[in-house]
Amino acid sequence: MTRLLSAQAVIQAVSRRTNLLIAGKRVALLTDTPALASRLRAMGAHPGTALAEADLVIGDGVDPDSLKPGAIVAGTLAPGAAPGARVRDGVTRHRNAHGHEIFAVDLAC
Amino acid sequence: MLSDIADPGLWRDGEDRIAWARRHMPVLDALSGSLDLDGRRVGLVLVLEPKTAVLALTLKDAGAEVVVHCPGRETSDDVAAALVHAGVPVLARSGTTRAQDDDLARRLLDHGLDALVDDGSRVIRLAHAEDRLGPLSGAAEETTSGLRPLRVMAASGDLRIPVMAVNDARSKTLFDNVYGTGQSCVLAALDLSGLDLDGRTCVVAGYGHVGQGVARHAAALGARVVVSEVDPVAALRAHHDGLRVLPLAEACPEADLLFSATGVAATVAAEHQRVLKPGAYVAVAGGVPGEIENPGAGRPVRPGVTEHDGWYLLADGDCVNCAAAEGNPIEIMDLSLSLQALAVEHLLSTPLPPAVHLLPAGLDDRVARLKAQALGLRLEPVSDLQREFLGRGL
Repeated sequence: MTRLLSAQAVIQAVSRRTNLLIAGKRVALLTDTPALASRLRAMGAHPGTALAEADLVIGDGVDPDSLKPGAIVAGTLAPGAAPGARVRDGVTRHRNAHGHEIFAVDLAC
Repeated sequence: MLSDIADPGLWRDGEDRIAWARRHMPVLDALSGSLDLDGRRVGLVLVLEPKTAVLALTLKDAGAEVVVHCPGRETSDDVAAALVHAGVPVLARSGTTRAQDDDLARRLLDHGLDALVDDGSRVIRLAHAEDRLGPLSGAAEETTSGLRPLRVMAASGDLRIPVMAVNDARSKTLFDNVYGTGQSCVLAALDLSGLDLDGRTCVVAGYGHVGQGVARHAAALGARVVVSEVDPVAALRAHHDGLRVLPLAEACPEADLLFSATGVAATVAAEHQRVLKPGAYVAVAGGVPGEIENPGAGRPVRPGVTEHDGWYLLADGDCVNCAAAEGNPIEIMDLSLSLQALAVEHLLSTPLPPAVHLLPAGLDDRVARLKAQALGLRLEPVSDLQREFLGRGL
């Protein structure tokens, strides 16, 4: 899904779904998306953060067990991830194998 | 006090949204254990959405009797319902007229408040105009445009209570106005308009903190940004930030997206509207009523968009991030609302003369320090030699 959207559309969707700030976010990008990285950086985010340290992970097929507590995935979780509970429109809460809460943002909505 | 809300049955949705906001507000959470407002009556007049609901609940947990009011155009009915469900009286319904909003504000004031938190100073000024201050010890004001008339009242001797200028705290204005309003207004305008900003021209009227934030975020998304300013210092700043500076009438024909970020009525006047190119979008960031001068009703195109002689007005010229989205981002409001909580406690514990007062620097630093801790940022300590140097005032 993240490959199909423009950089601006991904940023708009994350902001609209979560009402969270982009500036200051430690962001892991799972695909080589320089246009998205440059826009995030110009908005004050920190793209290029390691997956385990990221507040926000953008990509598809993300392994929930590799994320820190409270991390937000904009895209999709790996197949087999435990189903989530609705938190708000377009956001679901999941528990990974370590018992930590993580959140998934549906960019398709 | 009986609440006046649209639908109490909406509380579950509101509660979910409040829980999400609370999760991302570590500063207010850290302060909650130390606030002492036992038995004090506090009125909150803020955009009624999940973040401000977290402030209301935090003040209630600190012992205050909290009453919430908000104009209808900025009220989320599900959040209002969730607050009432949690035992906080609310006087706010979406869709109310300005006259109805004023009636609800009068009911708030007649409750006999000890402190008032206001956004735009509408209710502070109403209380003065109608002699409804009652036992009010003071107020805290959230916005630049709200402080401006209060400073005029203070200069003329008409301000009868102390007002904390929460807006002017560094932890507020350097973050809320720049990053929060900048991000949320630009992205809300793009959601409404459907514009792809890459390669487009974004004109920003006003280069204060809000205008700087709008310009920064528009440029980040690939726009060419042009700034219009009446203040030579702000114009110089825009120039040195690498932005073109033009009078608004000259910039308008280039604009694909025009923001008014001045907080001054009639910023985008008829003469500017006449020279907008067909298809241009116009939005207000921050804002006061009337920043877009008399645009008329317009032709509805889709929700939040009306057409006016070939150009499009977003969110009826109301502040676009509050009218058409969820307002400022959660983490930003964690800073601003934490300052509000400390301002209320300060007002109720410290006798102050009627005037507009800056928040004590120690409270500002406390909020910033808590936020830095929550982010895991480590600060450089001040050495004894540095402290001695600074102490000499050199």
